[in-house]
Amino acid sequence: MIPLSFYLGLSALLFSIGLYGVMTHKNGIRIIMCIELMLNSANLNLVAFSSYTNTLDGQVFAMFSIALAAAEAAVGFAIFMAIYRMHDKINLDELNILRW
Amino acid sequence: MRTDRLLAFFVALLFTAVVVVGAFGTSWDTVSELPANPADQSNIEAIGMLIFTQFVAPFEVLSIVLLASLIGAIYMAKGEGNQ
Amino acid sequence: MVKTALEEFAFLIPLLPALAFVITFFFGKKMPSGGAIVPIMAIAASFVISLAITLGLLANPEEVVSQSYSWFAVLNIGILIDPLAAVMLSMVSFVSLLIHIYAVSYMSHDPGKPRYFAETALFTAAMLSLVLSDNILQLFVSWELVGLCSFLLIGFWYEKPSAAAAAKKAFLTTRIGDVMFLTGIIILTSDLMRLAGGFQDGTYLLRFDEIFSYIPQLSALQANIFGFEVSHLTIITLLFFGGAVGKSGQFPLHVWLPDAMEGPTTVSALIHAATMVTAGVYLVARTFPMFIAAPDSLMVVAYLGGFTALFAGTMGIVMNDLKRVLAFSTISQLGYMMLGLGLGATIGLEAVGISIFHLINHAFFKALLFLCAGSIIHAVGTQDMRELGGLGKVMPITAATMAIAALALAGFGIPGTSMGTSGFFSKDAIIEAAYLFGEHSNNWIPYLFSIAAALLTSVYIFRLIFMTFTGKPRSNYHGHESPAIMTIPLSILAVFALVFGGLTQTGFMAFLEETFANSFVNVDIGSLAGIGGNELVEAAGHEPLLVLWMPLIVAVAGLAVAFVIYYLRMIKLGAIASMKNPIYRLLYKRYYQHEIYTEFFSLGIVYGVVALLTQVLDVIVDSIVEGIGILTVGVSEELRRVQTGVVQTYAAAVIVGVSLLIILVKLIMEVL
Repeated sequence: MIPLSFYLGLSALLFSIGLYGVMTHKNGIRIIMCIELMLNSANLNLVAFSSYTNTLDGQVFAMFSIALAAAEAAVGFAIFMAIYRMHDKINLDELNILRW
Repeated sequence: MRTDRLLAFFVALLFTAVVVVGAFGTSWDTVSELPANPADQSNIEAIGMLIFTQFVAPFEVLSIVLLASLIGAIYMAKGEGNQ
Repeated sequence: MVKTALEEFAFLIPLLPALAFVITFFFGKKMPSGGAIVPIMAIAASFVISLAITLGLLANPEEVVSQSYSWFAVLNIGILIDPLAAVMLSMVSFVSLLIHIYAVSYMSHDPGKPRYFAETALFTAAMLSLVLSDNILQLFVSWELVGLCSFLLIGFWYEKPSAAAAAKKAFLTTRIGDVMFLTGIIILTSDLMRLAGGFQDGTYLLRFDEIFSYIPQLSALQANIFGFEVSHLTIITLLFFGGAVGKSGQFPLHVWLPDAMEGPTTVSALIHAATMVTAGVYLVARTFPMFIAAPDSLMVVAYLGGFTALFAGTMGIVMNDLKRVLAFSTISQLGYMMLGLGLGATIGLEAVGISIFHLINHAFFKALLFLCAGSIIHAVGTQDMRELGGLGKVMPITAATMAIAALALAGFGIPGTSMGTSGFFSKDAIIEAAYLFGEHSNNWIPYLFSIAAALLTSVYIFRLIFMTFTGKPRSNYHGHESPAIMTIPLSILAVFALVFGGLTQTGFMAFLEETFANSFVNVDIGSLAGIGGNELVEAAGHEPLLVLWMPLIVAVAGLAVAFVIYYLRMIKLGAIASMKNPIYRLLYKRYYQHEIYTEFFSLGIVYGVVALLTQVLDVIVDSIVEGIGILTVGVSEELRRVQTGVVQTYAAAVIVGVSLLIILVKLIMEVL
């Protein structure tokens, strides 16, 4: 059977891909997609640990986390819509008014 | 632009290395074997039971969070002017 | 059964005035006469409860009121009303009540009435809670509260620079004593911890009965200070006494008391009679078993008390300010009380009796003297005796009551009978005890101090009476008798000053001697005195007749001197009482204490050292601060470029940081 570490490795890989996407992309929509990827790699971890310890708590938590991800995505996209309406762009590297 | 991508690549690589080394270097305290028959692993029913018994309070709270975020998202996306 | 019901209300004694403080402070402006009715009602209720409990105790002195509640760890808060506390409670609430009633009229023109009545209510509440504390820590907390209130009230007219300065002086001077008191408590606590073996549930370590039960062990602990073997108990008691010296205005910390005159006269009456200066005497009386078991402590108390009595008396005879004479008189009388307690080295528990007896009597006639002085100031508008004179015709009630108070202060009465003013019985008891002490230990200094001070007392108080009330007016003033709301408290106090001592003389002493033998504490003073190396003798009664009459003789002599000089004006004072006479100058300048304490010590030494240190530190600190400033600006100029404002950069930084942190932790764990 497949050891637990392999699931964790896969999850780490997914997370890193998401991370790389967050760091390189400029479009806000893409960044949110990458963040979803990172979030789901965490869900993968939850389910993996849950299976390998023979308890179901982790899987229930994964359900909750998916629901929260939906909420987060909804709010995130709404924010981007508001930003787009104000600035006519959603390129995050140009939205740098927080700068020095 | 290229240096940025390269830098991002190395940062991601560093993180992957750390986590993978951590994951493989740890001896996890887990059950040694998964159930042999995959049919037994159908645990949707068990999860449903858990959600509606032990985790019923977080579940209800979560529904409120979803509702709140829904209202917030609609309010923000709708904007001031367009009715 | 009635008594148990009363005990349930004991906690109200300090609580009601404290509530009155809150109500008057916040809502006094909307009430008639500054909300004075609230504190008056509250203190009247406290007085009724105190008096009822006192009467209950009189019938059955064994059953004291004692309620303790756990605070935290081994500390508790609680109520203890034994004979000592009971008489104090009744006196404090009674005198305070009369002063409050009087103040309604006295303060009627002052815009700050609500603040005044709120603060005096808090003052009374603090003193009442001090008196009924059943542990030393609660006593200390109330003690500090009393100090705070005295600061607020002395500086009541804070627009006046002299009042603000006097308030500050009072606060800082008593603070020296407070620090000593606190140090004593800390040493006591750590010693008790060691003796009791750390924290134990169910015992209240700092409660008086617990402290007293450890006296023999405390006495056995020795410390080495400058090569002298000193018992811990002596150190603790002397530190406690240091606190009492500050609060009760004993030499050398008495300097704040005369300046405390800057507040309203009613405040002076409160401070001098009821609420503040008696706290020090009360503390020593409360911890008397510790004092008597500590070698040398009572000697220090006796000598310092006797010296203060004489020292303050000498200054009292040259002051021209009405209230200042009374202030020095208070210091002198407090010296008597301390002397009385110190004589416990010979007469044992009786010392507490005579000392507190004098305290109570003194409260009556000193409150009376101050209220009379207030009545004069209210009517005439000056308090300089050189400008007064002939007031007896204008203000007959004030003059009569003040004369009674003066007689009581000087201690007029016929020895061997129960005819006499209050002051006579208590002061004579102290002087006789001093004689007994001298006879027993062949040490006559306390007796000489007390007799000389009695002579001075008589001189200065009758000088005040003659200068104020007899002769012709020495300046143009329009006096009038004060309204009834002021003269009625005066009359009540006068009655008490006249007869209280004679009526309660024997019963009072016997009652107070029950303080340390009841259901709460039961200590054997005799054996404790043995620990302290103090030999007790049997009670008085066989002194020569001359000794019994001596106080009266000196009092009459003092009256005669004052009469000759200030009434008949037979001796021209111009030559003696001038600034050219070095003795007069020394006394008038109050032994140059102001110069020594303030200008030489405070300004010269402390201020000089501080100023020098400040200059040196200025240079060092300045360069450090400026260096840091320049460095910070330079570094942050560069560092702010890190803040790109781009979210991805921040995310990358977080991830790199976390990764490096994990690697670092791993490396450290490998190395270890």
